[in-house]
Amino acid sequence: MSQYAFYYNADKCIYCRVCVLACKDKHNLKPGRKFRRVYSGCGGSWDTSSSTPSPDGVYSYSFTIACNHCADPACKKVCPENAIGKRGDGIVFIDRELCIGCGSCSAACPYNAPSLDKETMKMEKCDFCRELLAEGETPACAASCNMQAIEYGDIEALKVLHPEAVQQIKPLPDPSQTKPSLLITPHRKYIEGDEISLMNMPEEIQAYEV
Amino acid sequence: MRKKELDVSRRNFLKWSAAAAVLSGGLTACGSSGGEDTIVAGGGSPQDKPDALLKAGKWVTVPCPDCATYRCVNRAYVVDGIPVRQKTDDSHPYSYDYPQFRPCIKGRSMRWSVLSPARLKYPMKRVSWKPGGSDFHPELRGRDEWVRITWAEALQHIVSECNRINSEYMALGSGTSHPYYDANYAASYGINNAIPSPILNLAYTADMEPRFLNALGIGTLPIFGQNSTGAWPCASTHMVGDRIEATKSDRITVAENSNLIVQWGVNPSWTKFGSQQTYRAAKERGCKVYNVGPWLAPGSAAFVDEWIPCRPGTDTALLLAIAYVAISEGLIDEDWVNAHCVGYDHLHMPLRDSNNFPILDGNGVSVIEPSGSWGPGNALTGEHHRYWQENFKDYVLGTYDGVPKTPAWASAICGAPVNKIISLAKDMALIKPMAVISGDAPARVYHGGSYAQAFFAIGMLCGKGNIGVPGGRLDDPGLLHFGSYQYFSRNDRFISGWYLGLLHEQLGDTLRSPAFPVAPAAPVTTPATTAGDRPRNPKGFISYGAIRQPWATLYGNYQANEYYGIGFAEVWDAILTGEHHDPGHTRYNMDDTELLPGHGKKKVDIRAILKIDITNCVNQVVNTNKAVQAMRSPKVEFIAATDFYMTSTLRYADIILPCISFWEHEGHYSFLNPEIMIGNPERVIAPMFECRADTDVDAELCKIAGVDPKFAAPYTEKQAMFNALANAYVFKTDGTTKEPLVKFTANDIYDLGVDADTSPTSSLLTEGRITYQEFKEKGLYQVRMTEKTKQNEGWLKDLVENGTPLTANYTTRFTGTETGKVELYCMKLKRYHDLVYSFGTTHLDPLPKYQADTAHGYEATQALNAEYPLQCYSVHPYHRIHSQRSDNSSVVELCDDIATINVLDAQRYGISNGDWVLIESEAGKILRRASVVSTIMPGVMQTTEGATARYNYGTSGFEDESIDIGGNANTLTYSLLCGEGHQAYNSVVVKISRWTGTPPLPQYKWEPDLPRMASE
Repeated sequence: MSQYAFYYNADKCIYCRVCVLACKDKHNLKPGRKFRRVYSGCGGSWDTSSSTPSPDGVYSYSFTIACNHCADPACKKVCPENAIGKRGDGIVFIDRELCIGCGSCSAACPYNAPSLDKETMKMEKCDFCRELLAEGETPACAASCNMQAIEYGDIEALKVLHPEAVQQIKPLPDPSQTKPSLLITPHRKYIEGDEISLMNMPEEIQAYEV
Repeated sequence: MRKKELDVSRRNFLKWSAAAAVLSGGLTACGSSGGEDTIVAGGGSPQDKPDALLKAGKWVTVPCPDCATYRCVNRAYVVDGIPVRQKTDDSHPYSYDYPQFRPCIKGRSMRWSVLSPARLKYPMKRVSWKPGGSDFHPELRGRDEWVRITWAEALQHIVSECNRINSEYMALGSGTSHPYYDANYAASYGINNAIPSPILNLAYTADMEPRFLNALGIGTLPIFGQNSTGAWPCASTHMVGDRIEATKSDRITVAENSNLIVQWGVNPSWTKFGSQQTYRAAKERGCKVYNVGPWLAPGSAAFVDEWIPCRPGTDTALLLAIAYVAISEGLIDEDWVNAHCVGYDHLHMPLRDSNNFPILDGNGVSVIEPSGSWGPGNALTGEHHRYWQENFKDYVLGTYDGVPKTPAWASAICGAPVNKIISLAKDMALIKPMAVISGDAPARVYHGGSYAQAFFAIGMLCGKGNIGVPGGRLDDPGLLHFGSYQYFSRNDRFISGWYLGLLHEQLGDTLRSPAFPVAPAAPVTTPATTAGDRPRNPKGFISYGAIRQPWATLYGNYQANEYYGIGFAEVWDAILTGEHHDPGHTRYNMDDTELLPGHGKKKVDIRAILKIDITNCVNQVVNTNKAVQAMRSPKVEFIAATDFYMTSTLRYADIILPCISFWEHEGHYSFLNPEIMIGNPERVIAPMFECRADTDVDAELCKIAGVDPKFAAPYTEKQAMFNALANAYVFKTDGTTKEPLVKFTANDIYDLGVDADTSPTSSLLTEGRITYQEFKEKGLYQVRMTEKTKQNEGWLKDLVENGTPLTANYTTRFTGTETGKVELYCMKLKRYHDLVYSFGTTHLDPLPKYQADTAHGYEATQALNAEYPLQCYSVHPYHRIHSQRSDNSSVVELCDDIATINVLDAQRYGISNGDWVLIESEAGKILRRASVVSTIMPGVMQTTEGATARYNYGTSGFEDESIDIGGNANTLTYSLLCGEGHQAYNSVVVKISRWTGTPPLPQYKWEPDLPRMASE
């Protein structure tokens, strides 16, 4: 059994957010809704011991994230209507015929992936652009990335290509919760345990307006 | 009232949403002919079904219109005439040396901009405005309601009001007895035309004049200056001979060869989109990358190793300290510098005559006084003695002024830590080859000219091993194109007819300026009325025939007998006070010892304002509060303007006219990126509502005024696009010879319906690398670079390798320098200062000297109990091109206009990330959310330019008209005339406080900025 996964290179990401826009374009999402988000954080401090403050390890990094098509999807477990399925290739999808828009999946997902369409009261989320995949095309996000910082494929193959990749950098949750199909190369200046401030405005990283 | 306004557009919007919903699939009504009034709820989910309907349309290639950088590839999927999805080039695999030019968020969201609910739909008139000049309620501009009128009514108002206002004004006196007559221009313009026009052309360039007024002999009052290039052009033109083409390794050569890249005052990931892969490729090869500036932009994370913080307006101090380290530690080859520059040390000051002109030898090269006759200990005294002390090296070392420009000296000014200055200096002096790439931004300050001088001076100091060497590069404005701007470059990949660059130039006039003649042997016939026959503005200077001015700027070439009009920064004052400084204003000389003759202040009487183009001066010229006052001046009887959206300028007009967007023009080709020629031979979408092209508006005005409409539009859009395409040449793989890019058949010409020379003697149309049909099908042609077509050229390379003097070459539009060398000490700058420079304000020295800006710069924040303790500057927004796209909620949701401040300042003022803050300068107040980061310097804050000013409208609960909740950076900037008329956007002093009133909604939730319609 294979498992589709996304790989993101936070060392290359330029926080351009084209992946978010391309995803919104592909899925025709109105303002306020997104399946994909880019987090941007900064670290380091300013040394004020001399009269001219000096930057001490100041850097920033960004990375994109959407649904991680988890091996153990929390959304699927909590759905009261069994509307969430996982395909043989690992893609987690929502069956809109069954969805009642209750929001349980959104509450359960530690990655903030499901997005409510308030007009139809159906939950939607990244489906790996599965109809594009079926036609041999690339998911919209990966095809849009100017830095080629988004890759996709079977998770085991991606691990071989990117042995340094991890499953958690700030502000992501502990991967043991849902076993995300997610690989990230951290920024070269990022050290685990660094104190990081998120630079995003709130609406920029929300999946939908609550 | 608003509801009615929305109703008008309802049918069209329903069509769009229907098509969009259909494409998203799974919709019950999909594909049905539900009728235009069927409301199609967005019931579809993309997940439910494959996109069978995706097959219903076609992909259309369209160049990105937005920024002046790479012109990335957009493809729009058009179903039933409506663009419903976008993608980029996927026709070949990606590699940095043969990239897909994937667009940024601006290009990628174009369909939402074109189909925006904020689009203007038909001509409108302000309710309380009446023609005739007696009942027009100027005080209600920006507050009034609007009524729909026909195009015929709107155009008639424009022609008759302009005629009326001009007649009444001219009747104030005859010839020399007219109260506004100015004898200074009588010789150039004639007696009557030495009376300035009462009609202000509020557009940036002379190419965007209302032609009907020229044809009628009325003309317009122009404005001039540099809003983009800051103070670069004058300084670098005279010092190096060319602003841009200093020395250039192309993009790929930099990626493959540079061992050090220094990005100065530039954020390439966001505002030079397309160059970031090059930097990344260089970095992955092992090249070290510095970025210098007040802010470590998030996008630089992909390639920057070291950030050198530097306060706005203090870059010159930092550059001088780099020179100090390089000189005092003996890291540079002084003989090399002296061989290619004048003015480096006291033994290499150019010999000059009594009028400050250099004395040249028979080869046009500066004569240097033989060593021994100058220098310490010789008998020369007085002026000559002082002159040789004024060399660069002694200035840097502080030999005569007692101020060595040490890292400690610079650090106290610019804020870069001393150790970082030293390490940067050593790297710049020792690591070769080095690419130093500056943005325009550091020169957009009050003393910006010195920055441009210092930049080139340090580039020459470290020049050995860089200039002429693959991987060496020294340039502004940091685009990393092959040979930089197409139209300036002699290294063009494509030799094109004309630069079809900025949006306002997509108007069907490829041959508009004889200054840029069509390159080799144009196989195109032109209509009877050629660009050169078109009537010039009788009342002011235009760019025709002048060297290298696509913009009506001085570029260091001021001519005293020409009337340039009003400097941008003074335009609002001129409307309000009736006078402005002429560039040749009377003032003292550089040493304040001698009163120089000049034109003095000039009186004007502005009664009407026209803006028939895509610029947006009310928002984009400094001091928006004053702009609003000026637009409400009771003297101004009539204002008409065109645009896509209700911009700040349109908001204060009396008649507004809706324009078509880029996608609605009949095709467009872009040449800006030398690696790719890209175009859409067809429209993406038909013109929406009643929108028209700007040139059509001008042509219609010509018809009503009774003059030939070809004055406004010599060619149809299709003809212009054909001309451009037919005149495109491409280098062969040998890197030296060229061939036409596209070949046409007789059928192609017939189908296009264009005028072309198909005579047997002109075989050029039938030659070309690709067929027109191939081009049409793909919409682009991209060059794959080879070893031989890579570029490493430039004027300085010729100087360094072959000793070729930097002498003017008018064919290639190279200005050259007076001495034939790079002038670290530039006499022409001194003379130019005495002739024109600065309107008596800014001081431009022959040497690159640091000048403190105690009124608007860092020094102003350091005064005891300074009222404005923070420096504020503005960056180009990533998500807009200037003020365009303010109304695209899908983008604003991701990239709002935020105020970025340092964590230390945030603590000091009690501000947390996401708080609304009030930012106040002497000029105005804006309200923004704060982004609290470690990546900007303490004491410096940043906003994004181009946000649409909103005073008391758009969001309920904000009745205080003094606060701009739209957050326009120019609400904070001053009316500050400086340099050659550049706008000093980039250093304002401000104070900041947490907003305790009702917070506005996030901006993406704001209502579209639509005109308020009056009830009928």
